[in-house]
Amino acid sequence: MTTPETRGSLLIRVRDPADHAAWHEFGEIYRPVILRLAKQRGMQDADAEDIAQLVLTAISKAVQQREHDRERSKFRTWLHRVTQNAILNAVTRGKPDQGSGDGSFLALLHESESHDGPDSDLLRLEYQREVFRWAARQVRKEFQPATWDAFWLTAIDGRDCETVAKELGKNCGAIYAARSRIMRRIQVKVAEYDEDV
Amino acid sequence: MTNEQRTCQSESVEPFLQQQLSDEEQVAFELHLDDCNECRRQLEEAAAGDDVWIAVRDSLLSESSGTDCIDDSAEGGAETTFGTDTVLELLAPSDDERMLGRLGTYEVIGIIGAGGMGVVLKALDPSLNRYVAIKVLAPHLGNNGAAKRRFSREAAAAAAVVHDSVIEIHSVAHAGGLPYLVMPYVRGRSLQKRLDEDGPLPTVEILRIGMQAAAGLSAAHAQGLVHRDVKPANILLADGATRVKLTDFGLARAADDSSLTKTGVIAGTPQFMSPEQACGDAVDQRSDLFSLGSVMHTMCTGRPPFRAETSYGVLRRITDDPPRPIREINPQIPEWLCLIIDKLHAKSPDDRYQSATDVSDLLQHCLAHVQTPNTPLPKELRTMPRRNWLTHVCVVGLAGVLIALGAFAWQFKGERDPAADPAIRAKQTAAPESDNQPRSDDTKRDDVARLQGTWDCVSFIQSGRRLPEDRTKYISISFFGDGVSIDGPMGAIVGTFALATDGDAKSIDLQVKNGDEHKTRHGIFNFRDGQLWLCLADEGKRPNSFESKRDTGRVSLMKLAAHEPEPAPDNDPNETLALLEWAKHREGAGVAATFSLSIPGRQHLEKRSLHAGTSPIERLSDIPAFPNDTFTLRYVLPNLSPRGMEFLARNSVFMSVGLEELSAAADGKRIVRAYYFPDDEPEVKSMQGMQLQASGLNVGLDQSQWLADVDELGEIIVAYEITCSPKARTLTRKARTLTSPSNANDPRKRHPNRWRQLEATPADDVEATPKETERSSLKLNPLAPADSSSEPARSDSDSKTGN
Repeated sequence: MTTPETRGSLLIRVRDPADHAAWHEFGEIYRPVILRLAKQRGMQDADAEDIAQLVLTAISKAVQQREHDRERSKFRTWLHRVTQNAILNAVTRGKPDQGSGDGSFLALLHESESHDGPDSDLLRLEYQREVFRWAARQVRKEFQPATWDAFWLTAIDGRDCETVAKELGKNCGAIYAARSRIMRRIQVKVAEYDEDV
Repeated sequence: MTNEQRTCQSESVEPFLQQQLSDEEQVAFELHLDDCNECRRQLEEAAAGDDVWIAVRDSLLSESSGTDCIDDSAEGGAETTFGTDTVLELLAPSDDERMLGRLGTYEVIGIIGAGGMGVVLKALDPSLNRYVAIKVLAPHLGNNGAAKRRFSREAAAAAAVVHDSVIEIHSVAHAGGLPYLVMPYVRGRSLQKRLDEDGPLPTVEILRIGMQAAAGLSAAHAQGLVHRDVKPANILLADGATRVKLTDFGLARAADDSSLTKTGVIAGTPQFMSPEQACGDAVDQRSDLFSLGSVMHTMCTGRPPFRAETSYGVLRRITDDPPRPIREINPQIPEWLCLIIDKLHAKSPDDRYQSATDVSDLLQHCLAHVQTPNTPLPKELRTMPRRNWLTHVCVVGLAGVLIALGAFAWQFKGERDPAADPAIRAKQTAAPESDNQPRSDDTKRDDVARLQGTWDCVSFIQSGRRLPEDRTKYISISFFGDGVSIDGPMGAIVGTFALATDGDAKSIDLQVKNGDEHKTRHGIFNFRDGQLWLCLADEGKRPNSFESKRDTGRVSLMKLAAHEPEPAPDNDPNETLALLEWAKHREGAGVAATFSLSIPGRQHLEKRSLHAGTSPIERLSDIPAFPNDTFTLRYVLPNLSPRGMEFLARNSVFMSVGLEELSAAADGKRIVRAYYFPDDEPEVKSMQGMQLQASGLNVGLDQSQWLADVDELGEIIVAYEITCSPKARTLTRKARTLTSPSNANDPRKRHPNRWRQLEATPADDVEATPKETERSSLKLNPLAPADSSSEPARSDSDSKTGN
């Protein structure tokens, strides 16, 4: 499995071990957010990828230049703020620039500092969703596939409990049990995450 | 279903959610839920608020329908480099200036590598004057007390395992709060590295490595240790390949601990995990056997058995899907070996071999059988028909196997028919799977040598495309989309085959690729009347003649410029500049410049798509500086990812720049060129405008508008605008004085009804011919001079989309 060069080198730059984790989580959540936002704006996959790359690279540069800070929460808060700003700048600007040099990275970070309006609402929404998705991915590993299916088919796909129970060869009660448990875990995960930011 | 408990059990709700009930209580509660609506309601309310239910649903719904955006890089990144710097900071200064520093009593010489678990250093043990490898727990894990303790504990346990195939542990110690362990320094590669470099291994090697790894595991299992992270990277091949050393015993545990602390770090890729690990269930020694199965599968095929876009996907495949049959990928693997691996790969531990010792013994037996054919196979494997796998003389790396097959078939034919064209050489261009060149036999080497350096890259599409006379030496073939003679959708792929002249039909085996599926299709092709014809037979059949199939030639096909073997610099993908420089030196010489434009950022490309390579836009605009009537943009991208390959196949464009346009561009005019393809070519239609838009040539213009417009009319126009950079302008002006225009090779002359040039020069007579305008409603507004603005000619597209 290949790993893009940038990512590896980014990780090196984030020196504090606590920051490693924050950064990692950050990439897990923000990259999909950027991709989705870009695609919602009608961009091609490749362009969306470019935007994501651009933003993440810009952030990494900012991380590098940032004064080292021991407090993890600060790093995270800062990371989120800078990133959201960069995303908005990047997606409102449209297709990524061609020969993107250093100049455009900086521009992404420093262009108009505050954004309001539909884009930033959308970003917030997508971000929040991604946090849920991320939490769900984490939680998924904790459960048996059948449990997860019971949750997914009823709570997400909105199918009837009785039918699904029959399909999975379970009792209806087991379905309720499964989905409630998973829901609780997701909620806990999300809360843990939000606490940190 | 009977339910004895009618009374509500609200008090059970919270403990249930926190998973604190005993098994019996749980079962009882679930039974009660079957009937009690009130408890259901309470349970769901307690589980999470309404808003959370809704939010989760919204988020995950769009997840399943939307593109899966998460890729493995998130996890993979963690594995590549973790905190090398942090580790180096731990080192104490050394008295010896050649050393990086001191760790305990060890003089650190250098860094061997960094993985998800930690950093590995090479060091000298001065007291014994021997080299050691020191593994320092990664800082992010070292911060976690539980992980740290476990690391030490497991390392101590691993140190107690004494076996030839398990790496010895000299000591376990701490430095600056981080634990590290000291092992002998083993010269040699890891199995991972070997697989990366050499591809699939021969059966004997697979058995030898598998047997030793199993023996090592059994020694560890005897001590109650579970390795948990058996994967090729943890199998060292000391002394070349003959001796196997397992490393990283039990260390994965430490990572488990740390991931519990919600850092979100998954150590390593999950590709070699067992189903029980993937589910987070308790694992025992049989989990290692599953992983060993995956390792052996990888040795057979060159790639891990469970692969998916995301870690999550990998986990699912591990738990749910059987791996793809080995012999489909590498037919040279004997059936009985597949049986062994299948058994290791049983989803339920009970169905696997029950101990590593069994596996080791079995493999040893098999090894004896392979090395001394008199030795019979173990009984349980003997039901299989004996394959004559020993007689396979030619060991072709799986990687290039299909393309190699093509070459093989070809040579075979050549031998039977001495009159057939001698200059035969299959050479893949950007096919990602193939690093090993198909062999060509000695008698043909001269021809090969003569022709080298001129092979082409796959590109565009057109069937029965007329090729320029007898200069053609190579063709590149690329299929994709819904080729008429090919059933169902297909991905790219590709063989590039050399041919010299018109001749008899040649058989050809092509690798057809659709997603991850590879198939071989047999076909024949011929070069008749300067046209390339190709016929693919139905799956599993071989065509006899072109007449056997009406759809002959109706495949997507492209030949990029045919050319004399012009010596070009070696195509190091990172040497774009060198290539351009080279091309520049040809300026004014009147030689057709066919050269490669290599795109830097290969890493990038592997990962993503060709589009990533468009950064040298400046260089593209420099291109008109070469006053040649044709030139080819050729992308040479070794190791291109399948996606990149497909993308390349779809998007490379044959461009021809005439001197007039160059001159005009140099004079500051804008040139818009459009190629369109008549609608009588179905393959062209199958090409999607979207794809073209993404081609990223980006010489200007808002291409999407153009393409969309034309699509409606059943035609596709690719429009480009060429602008000159100041530098290019100077060059072109200079060149103009040196070279007189020649239209001999102008594709517009060769294919008058296929190529249209819409010239926007000068600014006020930009009209396309009336016919064109009518057909495509393509109208060009006067364009501004190139240097005034680089804005796309928006107004054009606006006016066109109006219809």
